[in-house]
Amino acid sequence: MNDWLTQAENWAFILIALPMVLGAWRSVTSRNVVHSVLFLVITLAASAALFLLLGAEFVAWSVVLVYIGAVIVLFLFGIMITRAPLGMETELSHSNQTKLGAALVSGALFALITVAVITGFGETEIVSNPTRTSEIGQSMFERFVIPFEVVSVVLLAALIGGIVLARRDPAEPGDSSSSLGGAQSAHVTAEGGEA
Amino acid sequence: MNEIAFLPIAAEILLLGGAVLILMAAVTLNLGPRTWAIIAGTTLGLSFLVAWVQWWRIDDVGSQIHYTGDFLRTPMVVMDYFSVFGGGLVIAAGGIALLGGWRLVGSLEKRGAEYVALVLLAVAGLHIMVISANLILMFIGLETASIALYVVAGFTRDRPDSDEAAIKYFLLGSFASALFLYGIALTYAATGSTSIYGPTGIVAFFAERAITEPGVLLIGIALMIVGLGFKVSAAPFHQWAPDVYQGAPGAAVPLMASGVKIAGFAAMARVLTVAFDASISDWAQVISALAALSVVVGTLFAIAQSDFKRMLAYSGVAHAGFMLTALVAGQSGVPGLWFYLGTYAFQLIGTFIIASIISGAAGGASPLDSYRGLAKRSPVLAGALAVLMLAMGGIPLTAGFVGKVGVFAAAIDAGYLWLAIVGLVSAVAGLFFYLRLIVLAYFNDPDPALADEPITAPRSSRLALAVCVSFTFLFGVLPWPLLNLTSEALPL
Repeated sequence: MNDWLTQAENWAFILIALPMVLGAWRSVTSRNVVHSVLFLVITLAASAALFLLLGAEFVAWSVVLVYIGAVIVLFLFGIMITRAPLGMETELSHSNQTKLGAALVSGALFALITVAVITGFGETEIVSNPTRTSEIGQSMFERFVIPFEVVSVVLLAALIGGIVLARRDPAEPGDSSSSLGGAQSAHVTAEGGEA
Repeated sequence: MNEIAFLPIAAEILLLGGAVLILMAAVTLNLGPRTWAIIAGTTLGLSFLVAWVQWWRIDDVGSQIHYTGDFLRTPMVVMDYFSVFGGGLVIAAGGIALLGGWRLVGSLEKRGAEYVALVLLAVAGLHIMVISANLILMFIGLETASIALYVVAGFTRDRPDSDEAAIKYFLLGSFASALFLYGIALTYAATGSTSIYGPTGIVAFFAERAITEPGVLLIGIALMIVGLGFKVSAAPFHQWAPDVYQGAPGAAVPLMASGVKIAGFAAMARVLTVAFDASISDWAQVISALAALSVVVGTLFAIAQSDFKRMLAYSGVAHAGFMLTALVAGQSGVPGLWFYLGTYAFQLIGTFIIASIISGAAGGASPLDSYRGLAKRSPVLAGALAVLMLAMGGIPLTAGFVGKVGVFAAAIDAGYLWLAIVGLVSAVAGLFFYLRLIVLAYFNDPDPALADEPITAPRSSRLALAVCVSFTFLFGVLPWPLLNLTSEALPL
């Protein structure tokens, strides 16, 4: 144990892990939704720092950009747009049963991951082998250039689709499509689901 | 240094360019459907031309694997007769399907441009599935096509069952995609590669060593079969198909039904008969069980349907079973699979075009009663329906018969006589519901409420239908040109 404490990176780990656990705990227990989201930022930032500690700088900055930058903002937008109450939530009192269920699920998950990691790696020392971002970029634009480009097509399709499904047409003539649907449109609901 | 070869991916570049051009034309220049039609037609025509150029190129220099060079470890795209034939088929099916459903574009007004663009993107994604030599690229192609088609299924937003179709397709389809991806991950864990070809690819891996503990690999193969089985609607993964085909806008169904089947079976053939050729004794039994189940379940449920589109969906399950029957023979079953797929795709497009003429381009349900006395209301349409139904039933002198013969012959050669017998019995039972439509159309009087209502079909639908019917008839009488082509279209 003494040996463990003399190494600087272990102190760095403790310094990162403590706020991470605290943030995770508070984001679950906080009664204010916005506070929960902000505590989540602490947790995610700490996980990015852990990745840095492991020498995975690309993953670390991806976490910062994608999770802290985009997902958290999405959360906040979601709270804003759905007009959820921003202040203290008093009616958000979970019954003991739900708490027990949540504790069981998260405890089981924790146990599963712990067992998997310990049986998988055990005492083997993992040599830290930093992956440089430039190498990842190189393989992305050489070996994986075609999939990389095609992923942008996936995004384009999703973008167009999202707009099409969400947009309200200016003065949509509601009768034009129903006349095309013909006399059969009345049967639609009746045919519903068999089989 | 690595040169980028543009010929193998020229079709994708063209289709993507066309989709973007259509959106630009609609948004910034305010151009109407006529322009979209010109752009889409040119794009699809040029892409089809590319397939011919690729075929000649392979004649000259042989099959090629592309995007290798320095990154030899991960070939991405393969240009062989298999991918060129499948790619050409996808583009042709997409073009005919878009043409047959063009009436929908007009009825969508402002959103028509997005519809055409999404169709082109879907065709591009399906094409990628066919030509990919890497499982990751195959998955991304699958996702491109799937996402575009989920949206297309929900395009008519004023009908609740269209929403239902879209959300069902989306949820079950995403689930299938995830299973497929998990299968890829486990395959990677077992073989150390996501590429099929190349010196460290999956084929080379099996050539060099034998797997002693195949557990992870077998789960991987099984998950990939399940994922692709969902997409081609093989039983027991077919539950989404009837609801989606019935709920989606009628004129969009031809592409959803035929295109995904072509690309899904092409991907399945590439993965199973090339990448996992070494473990054919393991997966052929699974495929034969799926085939038998699909054929029986599809036929039985199709008999019970009272809606034309639902009936076609269940008969599609049975047809997926027939195509799986060819696949049990491994690579020697690929020509049979191609012939069946190539002819069935156009039969399917033709029948769904008829359904969209009868029950509206944006319409959903298409009850069998509305086909009563069709011969009196529109003799031409009834004739086309009769030819297509006979072909789907597998009557001689139609392409369906030749396709079924090829499929069963492949299965018998591979030693699956029982599967051929199950298929044959089901095919005979299936004649019941195909012939029932002909009886309805010719020997019944039309519903008095509909009798005087004329059936109007735009020229685009009639043209597409004529192509489908003449294909079906032509390749039924003179199948040899297509048979020669399919016997060459083997994977590398």
